[in-house]
Order: sequence, then C-alpha cells, then structure tokens
Amino acid sequence: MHEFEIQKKFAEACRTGKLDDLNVDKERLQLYTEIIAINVEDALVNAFPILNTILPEEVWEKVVRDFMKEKLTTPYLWQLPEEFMEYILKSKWKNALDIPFLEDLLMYEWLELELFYRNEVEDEKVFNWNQSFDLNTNVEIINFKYPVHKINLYDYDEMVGLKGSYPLILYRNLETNEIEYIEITPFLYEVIGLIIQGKTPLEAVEEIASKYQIDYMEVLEPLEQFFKKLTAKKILI
Amino acid sequence: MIKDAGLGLRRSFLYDIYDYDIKPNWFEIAPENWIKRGGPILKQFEKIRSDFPIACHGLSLSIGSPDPLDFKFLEELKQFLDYYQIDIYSEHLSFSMEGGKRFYDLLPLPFTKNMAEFVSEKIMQVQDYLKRPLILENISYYLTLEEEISELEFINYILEKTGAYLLLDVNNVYVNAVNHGYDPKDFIKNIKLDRVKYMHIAGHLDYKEDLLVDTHGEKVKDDVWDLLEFTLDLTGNVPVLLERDNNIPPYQEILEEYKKLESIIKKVQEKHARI
Repeated sequence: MHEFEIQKKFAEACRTGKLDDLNVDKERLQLYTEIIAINVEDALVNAFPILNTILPEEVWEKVVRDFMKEKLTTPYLWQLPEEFMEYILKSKWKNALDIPFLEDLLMYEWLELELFYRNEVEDEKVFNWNQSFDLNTNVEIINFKYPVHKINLYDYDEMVGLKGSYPLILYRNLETNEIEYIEITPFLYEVIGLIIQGKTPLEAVEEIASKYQIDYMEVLEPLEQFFKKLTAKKILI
Repeated sequence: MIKDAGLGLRRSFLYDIYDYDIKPNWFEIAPENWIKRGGPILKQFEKIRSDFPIACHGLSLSIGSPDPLDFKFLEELKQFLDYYQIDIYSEHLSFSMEGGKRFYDLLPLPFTKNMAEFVSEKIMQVQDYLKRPLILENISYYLTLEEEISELEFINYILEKTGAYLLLDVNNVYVNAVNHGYDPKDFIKNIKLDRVKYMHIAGHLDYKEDLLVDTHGEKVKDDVWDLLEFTLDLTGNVPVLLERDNNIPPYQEILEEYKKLESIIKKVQEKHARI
C-alpha cells in the first residue's frame, strides 16, 4: 500500500527532524518533530534531572535524538526512562559520555522514580534470627561504585575521586511515601544478600562473619537492633 | 455509566477531588498511565474507581499504524479494563507507532479508501479481542498526508464499516477547521452524530493566524464553547468530558471550567425538554 510509504516517510521526518523527503508544508511538519521531541525530552528530563544538568545541552540533545531514532518501543511513557537508561548503557554513548559514575547515576535516578510506583507487602513480620525473610517489593538493595545518592554534596571531580563501595538499601518509606536510603556496610550488604537467597539471618551472619573473620556472637546484639528496624519499616518481610 | 459532564483525571489533582463539594459525574483516564503501576497513587485511583464511573481513553493503540497490532499491549490493556470493570474504551483515529518505534503523539492518517479499509479491519480485530466496541476520536492535525477522500468521509466510512462509536472532540473539529480551512459546523452536521458515544472539550493555543495547536494546556476558548452548544443541540444528551493535560492550574480553577461545562449541558437539556 503506497500509504504505508507516506506514513514511513512522515514517521522518519518526525524522528530525525529531516524534512526533505515529504511533500508537505515544512513548517507544519516541523511542528510535529518539535512536539514529539518535547514529549520525549520532558519524560527524560523529569526522570534524569541530574544527568541532564551534568551533560552539556548539545550533548544531551544528541543523546536524546539518537535514542529517538533507535528506540521508543514501550507503549507506556512512564517506562521510557528505563528504556533510555538501557539504551545509553548498551550504546556508544556509554563510553562517549565519559562519566565514570554514569551507570550508578542512571540507576539511582531511575529507582528514585520507579520505587514510588511499586506495590508493597503490607504485613509486618516480627524479627526472629531463625526465620526466613525477604525484601519487600518497594525496596532495592544496591552496591554503588560512587556515592551518587549524595551527589548534591560533591562536585563532579570530587565524585569521580570517591570511587569505592557504597552499599545502600533504597526504599519507599511507607509512612511518608518519600524515597529514602539507608547506608549499610559491605558486611551487611552480603548478609542481606544471603537472607534474600533464603538463609535465616543467623545462618547469613555466621557465614559472612566467618568470611570477615569476625566472631559472630559479638555482632548479634547490634545486628538484632538493625534487623528489628528493618522489619519495623517493613523493609524485611 | 457515564452521563452529563466528566473530567479527565490527572495526577496533579488526584488527592483534591474529595475536598470540594462539586464532584465530577465521571472521570476519564489514560490506561497507559496506570497499567503495571502500583504504590500510593494506584491506591488513590482505586478509591476513585470505587466512587465514580471511569472511562478509559487510550494513547498507544496506534490503530492506523502500518505495523501489526501490538497484542502484548492489548492483553495488558484487556486485563486492566476487565479488572477495574471499565466498559468504555476510546482511542484515536491516528497512528503513533511505525517500525516498532513510538512517538507518544498522534499522527494523522492518509485519507484514502485503502487506508479506511485497512484501519477498519484492525478496528474489528481490536473489538473482537477486547470484547468491547471501540470508540474512536477525531484527532487534531496540522498537515494532510493525502486526501483522496475527505476527513469526514474517511471517519464516516470507518464508523459505518466497523460499528465503532465516535468520540467527537469538539475542540479538534474547531482546530482542524481553522488549520485546514473548513466550516466546523458543516463538519459536525455531516458527521455520523448517531454514533457519538461521548465528546471531548479542551483548550488550544493560537499558534499563528491560520494554525492552532491542540495543547490541552489552556482554558477552553469561547468559540469552542459555542461549538459545543451547537453540537449538543444536534446530538441531544451526550456526555461531555473536559480535558486538561498541560499547564494544569489548581483544581479549584479546573472546577470553575467544569461548572461552565455543566451549565452548558444543563442549558441545552432544558431547551430540549421544552421542545
């Protein structure tokens, strides 16, 4: 059908901003390309405000324009930022942008948005060393290489210099609905990792304490307070 | 059951609607904004759903796309409509996807007999799948890709062929009439008014003298209110929804416009009751 060819040319002009292939009013065609670019850009700027600030405007526009040419597959506009994140990390832009903390920043900004829309399990479990627990569905445990969760405290060069290990529990506070984080030690990060895999808290602490050459009996009491806090906040369920 | 005036439900006033004595009769949502979502916002939506009739007005069906239908999306859509027991599902007579890539905007179709046939087939597939009639909106558009038949003939043919209903967007008729130089009242008189399930009204931007942009970001213009009254006079008692998607003011201001919509509907109803 020749109509498909017209639609294809129109679509291509809307995506690329190149208007020469179609025999229509160029000013009105331009209006479509602008409206579409604004819709996409608004969704991405809202999701990644920090990345948008870090990148020079012309670079940001190039990334967005390339993304528009190659992706935009989800029927849900709210999912577009996740598609953008995946696109950047799998395309030439990952290296071309040359931001050491790019992956962490994208993930942090996306999760800040996404966790807000996750359902949670509402039942609270009482902490017990010998029971199995899971992370609630409104929670992520993550180990960043850069402290992107505190990006407002550092300038770019400082952030680059802070490469290390920054394990966090990132969650939606069920009372305030704010997205919050709890910084944890690498030790606790590994313990919680084992708990999620099905070990009881006691088994997990024993195993990781042995790895860190710590007497697990000495850490049980302070850890119990910490785990009770996590169950009270329904982070562990 | 939707009737009289309704309001497009937006996140910015999701928590305000119980704070005022005036309550819209019904709300309309874009299902794409709610499918696969959760958290506190969804809880509030569910409360509203339990208290008000809801119509769904989709954005991503892309019924006129050269691409095949996206059945994964349709499955998710059907689950959503069934779960919330929403019978009214409207979409746009347009395309918003090509080659698997989306635009998040509504692009006009070439007005040809072939295209009308092609779209009709897809509409019937969607109706079969969703077990609901489709309600299709006449979109606003800024350029004509091809015009073997008129927009009016194109729409009427599809409605006749498919049994689908029309969501008559009165603001879009006005915008298109200015942008493409026709008489909006003639258009309305000649569209299949017996197929109109409900109507939309919204604000537009006066971009240039001969070019209006359908922004949904301003108040409804007086000429569009007049056109709505003219249309209601012909259709009789058809529900009308006020849309506001951008530049959204405080809820109280939206309610002022909503009251105006109610008063126009009431005025026409009273007139019809007398004759």
